Amino acid sequence: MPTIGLVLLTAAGVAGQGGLDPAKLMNPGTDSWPTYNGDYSGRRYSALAHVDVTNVKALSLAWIRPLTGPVQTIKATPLMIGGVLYISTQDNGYAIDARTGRELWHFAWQSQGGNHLSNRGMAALGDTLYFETPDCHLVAVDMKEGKQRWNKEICDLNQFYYGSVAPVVIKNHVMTGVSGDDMDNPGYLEAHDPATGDRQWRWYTVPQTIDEPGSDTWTNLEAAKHGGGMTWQPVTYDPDLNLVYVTTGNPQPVMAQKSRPGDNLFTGCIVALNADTGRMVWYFQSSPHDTHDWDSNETPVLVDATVKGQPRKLLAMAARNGQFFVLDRTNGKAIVSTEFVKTNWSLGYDKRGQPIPNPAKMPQIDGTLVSPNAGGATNWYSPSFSPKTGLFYVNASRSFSVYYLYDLSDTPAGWGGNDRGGWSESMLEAIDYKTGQIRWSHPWDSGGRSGILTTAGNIVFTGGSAGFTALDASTGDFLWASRLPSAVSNGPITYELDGLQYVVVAAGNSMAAFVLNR
Amino acid sequence: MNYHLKVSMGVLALSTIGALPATAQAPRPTMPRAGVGPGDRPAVDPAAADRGRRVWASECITCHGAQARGTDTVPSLLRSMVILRDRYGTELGPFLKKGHPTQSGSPSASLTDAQVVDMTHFLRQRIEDTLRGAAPFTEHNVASGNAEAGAAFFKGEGQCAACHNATTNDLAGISSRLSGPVDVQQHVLFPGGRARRGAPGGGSSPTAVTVTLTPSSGPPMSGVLVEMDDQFVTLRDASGAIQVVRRVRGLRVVKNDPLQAHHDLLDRLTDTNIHDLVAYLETMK
Repeated sequence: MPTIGLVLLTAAGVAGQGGLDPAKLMNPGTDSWPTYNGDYSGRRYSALAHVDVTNVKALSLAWIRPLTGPVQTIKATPLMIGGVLYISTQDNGYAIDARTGRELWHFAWQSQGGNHLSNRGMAALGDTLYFETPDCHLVAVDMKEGKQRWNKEICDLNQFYYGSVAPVVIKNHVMTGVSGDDMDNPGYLEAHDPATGDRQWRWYTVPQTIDEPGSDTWTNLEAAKHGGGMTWQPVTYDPDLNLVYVTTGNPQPVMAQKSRPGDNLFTGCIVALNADTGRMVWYFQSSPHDTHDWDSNETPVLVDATVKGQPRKLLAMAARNGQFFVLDRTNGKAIVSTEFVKTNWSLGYDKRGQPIPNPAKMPQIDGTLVSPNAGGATNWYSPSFSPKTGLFYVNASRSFSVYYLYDLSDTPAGWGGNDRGGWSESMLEAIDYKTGQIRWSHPWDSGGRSGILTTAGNIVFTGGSAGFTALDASTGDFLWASRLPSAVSNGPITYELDGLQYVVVAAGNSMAAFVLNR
Repeated sequence: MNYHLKVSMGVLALSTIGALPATAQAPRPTMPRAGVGPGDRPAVDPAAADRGRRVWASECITCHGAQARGTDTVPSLLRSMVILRDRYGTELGPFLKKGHPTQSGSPSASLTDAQVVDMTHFLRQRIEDTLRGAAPFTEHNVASGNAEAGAAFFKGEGQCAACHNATTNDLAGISSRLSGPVDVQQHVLFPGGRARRGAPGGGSSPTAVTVTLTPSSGPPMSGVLVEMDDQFVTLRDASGAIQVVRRVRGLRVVKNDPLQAHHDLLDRLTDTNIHDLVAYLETMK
């Protein structure tokens, strides 16, 4: 009775639009992808194993569909809740049927400007979706029809801030980061009431009064207050510790650093905040006194492991400056500090395991050759950790460029310098998190600037030179690829639907779903 | 307050996109850099900014500085909410009319509306000139090296003369072909440009990357590399035809990059080496 079957599936799809049970955020299971990273850990690992190393060659295209409207490159990771995918681009939100790719609704925001570089995606709670807009708004839309519920201004467009970060719902908080490094403003993380959008707390990444911790790492309060440190990357969260892990961007002015000698806390940091108060519990500065636009905004991935017989709560991050860190996430103490690509800008590590920048490699009037370039040894695209292999996977680049100082004044502003390059080569690296050693490295002749998904089928999914690519998670051997119309531009996700494992990815202005048919 | 210039700016803005015939010889307003900040950010009229600069120089410069960036004790107006929110005097006008809290010169309320608007153009120009891509956002003189040391490195430790000599890849006249020391420096480190792959429009350069494919049986195949991935190698053969070869077990792929010596140098060169080489190459007119 195929007709009845179709009716039942449709009914299930509509019922699925009833929303996201908050319990799903704590324990997503394999039938949903309810947050930016799939779960709070940031691992982007799925327990699904229908697709494995033996059958991935049979993975086939379920549908491919460009998003409607003036779509720029899709960088967002979609959510999948109840058979529906929810995704955002700059100024736009979409609901897409996960089985067919049919667009169920499209919400268009009327923009007042702002940097339209990217949008990283949505958050969900109950029957509400949340996303940021380039013109500094947090917008809530209803899941069923895509109608706006409310919007709140979360940053000031006049100060050149913008919104791009995927919000993350934690308990009764919608966590929003801010973007913008054209002029000199402080970064912050905010928590908003999911029902009203009202602000619950704001944590500034740089001191706003002379009494705040970190102010002694700035030359004066004026420098600190305008010291940058944007919160570009969605947060991760440990429910047992009730700690939110937020990463902070480069200090301002970006490259002309004359007015900001010192470590410039808490820029270039991994910071643990109490989820309910926004109070800082610990910090680790992965890029002290950054002068290369490296930020420290890669995903802080939470790893539970046994080290020397002891269960440990760890946090691993491959930073844009080329450094790989493993921390104790209860207190921020470093366990591993090492390079994941060769770099030339540091003078070793301090006693906390933080790299020490070499002043000679800060931007110079006549130029200094630095590795990596401003694009970095990796960037915003998501890494992945597989508990099955114990490996941390990251799309990495080795690169060089010349950093020039443009603004020679005593009161530089904005960037005040730039890097010009360069040469680079890209690869996907599998890192043993216990030692930081590279277990294997898979070269990319092109591509490789996309997120990563690992699965219990022992597969690494990512964007490679041949398009959307599957590698063997243990060896890095090539298994499968599909040539999409353009390079993979987001992080892939997977979920189980109707007993089938789907893998969904974005490439340029299109989304594509792959499925292992039975 | 009436800010008449706002209206005339609108006319000027239209003229820049061709909706009206270009009028007179008035300098065109500089439109705000697209893609950052508010969509209604004011345009800068250079003539108004120049008039504003003169007001600035007589009334404001002592405390706020020539570039309006302040000092240790005086705020930078590039960071002032009054200035950042201003639209042709809408914020600065009322602020100054109230009386500047710490003014040292003429009473701020005595400034005319036109002077206030002119000053907003000057201040907005300071902001726009700070943004990436603005005219002042560029290199200074990078020629800091020692030509003799550069020559010694070129012929000795750097082994540059092994490839660059009177018979091969001669660099005579290099500094005349390039546009200054920055350009020379970038070419020393990152030569080759974009024409190094065999895709249409590329691959004709002597620095093009080539590839040799040797199957487990049968003759090898060579050409300019177009692209390479986990499944295929695409090359342009000597006849100009595109060949796509599947990467099967046993196929040996050897990439040959004529600029590999340059890439290898990136790990060896010190900044002093680089600047000395630039100074030496600058002598090759």
